[in-house]
Amino acid sequence: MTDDWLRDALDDAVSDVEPNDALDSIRSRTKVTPMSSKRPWMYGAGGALLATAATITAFALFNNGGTPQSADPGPASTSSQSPDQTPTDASPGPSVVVPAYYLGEVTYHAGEGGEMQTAFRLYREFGNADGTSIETAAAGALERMFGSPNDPDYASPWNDGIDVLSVTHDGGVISVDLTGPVQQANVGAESAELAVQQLVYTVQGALSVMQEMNATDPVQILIDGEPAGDLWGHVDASRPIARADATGTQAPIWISEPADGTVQGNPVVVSGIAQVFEATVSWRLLKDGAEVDSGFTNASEGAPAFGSYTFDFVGLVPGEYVVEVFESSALDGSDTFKDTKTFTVE
Amino acid sequence: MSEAIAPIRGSRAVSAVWDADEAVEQLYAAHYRQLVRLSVLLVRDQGTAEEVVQDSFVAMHGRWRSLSDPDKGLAYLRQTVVNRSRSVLRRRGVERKYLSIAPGSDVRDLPGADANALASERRTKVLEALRQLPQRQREVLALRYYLDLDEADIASTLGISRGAVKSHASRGSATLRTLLEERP
Repeated sequence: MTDDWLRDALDDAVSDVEPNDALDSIRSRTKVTPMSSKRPWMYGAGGALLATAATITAFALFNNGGTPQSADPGPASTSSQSPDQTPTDASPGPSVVVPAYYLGEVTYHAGEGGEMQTAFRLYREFGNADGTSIETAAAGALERMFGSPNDPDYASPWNDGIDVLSVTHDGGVISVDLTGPVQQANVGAESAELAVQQLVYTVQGALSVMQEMNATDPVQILIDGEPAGDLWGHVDASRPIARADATGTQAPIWISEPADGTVQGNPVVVSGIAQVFEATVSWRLLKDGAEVDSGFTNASEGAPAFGSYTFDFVGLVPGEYVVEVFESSALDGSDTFKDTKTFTVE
Repeated sequence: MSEAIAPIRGSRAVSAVWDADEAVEQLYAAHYRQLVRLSVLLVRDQGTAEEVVQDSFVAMHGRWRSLSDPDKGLAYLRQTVVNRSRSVLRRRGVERKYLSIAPGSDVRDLPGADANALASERRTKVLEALRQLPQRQREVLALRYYLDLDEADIASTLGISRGAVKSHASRGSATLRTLLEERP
């Protein structure tokens, strides 16, 4: 008796399992020292100290033990701390790094010999939220999502004035209760469903960071306690909404780090997620608008999978840079699905 | 699948000098998906599987100093994924929950159950048949036929004898075959 049928059956049984990218979430749980030589703390707009995807407050690790010391983990306040120490001051809660999703435009060839066309897809940024509970973490992520992204290439169609009343996870459904101008969104029919997925992905992402079991359960949107019903005349939100497949929802190429508008050390590590043909990721580095370097690297997996990629630049001279990551079109070599980040080397 | 990321700048590719962060990055790039799939074979629910594997990576990061070798790191990950998959089923009662939900109510199955319906039905059948096997048999089959580990590696991963591996494998595959053949 040959066992090949068994090998084939098991391979096949899980061949459609495409896990969501989790490297950032794993990193955020393993980084205890904010001042990493590779991934320094970064200053966001307005000078606020932000953690990137790769850094974290030490406090996320304190959940099993003592009480957190502070919610504002500046580098100096945490770098010398070890989990054995007994923190003081219980408020406010521990800080965690949560994702928030935004809409951005992608450009690509439609079909075989197609024209270039554009569409919206989801992009992701990271920021701090109060990690006291799944509710505070998800609410923090949503508040970021309703507001403006760091990267000016992205946008949120949701109204900035929306408030989160509660986030609960019960009976296989994640419920998000909102209040305020929920119905006043800047969406057309084309992007309405994506805007709903923007919320679904953001809430699930926050739950995932909080290590909630089944964090990808469907999401029920409530407005003042009642099922949202019809949203913007385009989406039926009367029932829980399932997470849509990443393909066609997420932008095929993300740059996860560096975050836009940040100051970088040496080396500058560029990493992200790419769903590209034969795993070939192209990149270009611009300084003061002129190309200084270009090349390509391989993602861990090729399309249809979302692979992760990373590369770094060593010894860049001071100045302002833009890194572009894209898929070079098989049709005419043009840049498609491009994501860009601006950063400064001092 | 097994190819690690090849950096084009810098010098971070030498495995002998990986620190814990690099070990996580490299092993994640090369093995994350496969480990999640392994866990799905054991626990069925993808969300649970992803969490099990993420926890395992965090655990490996913490132990990297004593592992400090890519092969040992991977062996540790495999073992941890299997152990955590087992305890998550026990602790959370996922098993009961899993058995009581209808096929297709899995998040990843919800949208577009059209063209892929047949393939998806076939996969569901195999996963459900696996779930009916005793835990050990399921683990041995997954390690033997999904990861292609040899008897010695399976024995050390599960902490059982090679003889036990052999008997679990033959009983498990016979039962699985019967289950798959008798179902409509």
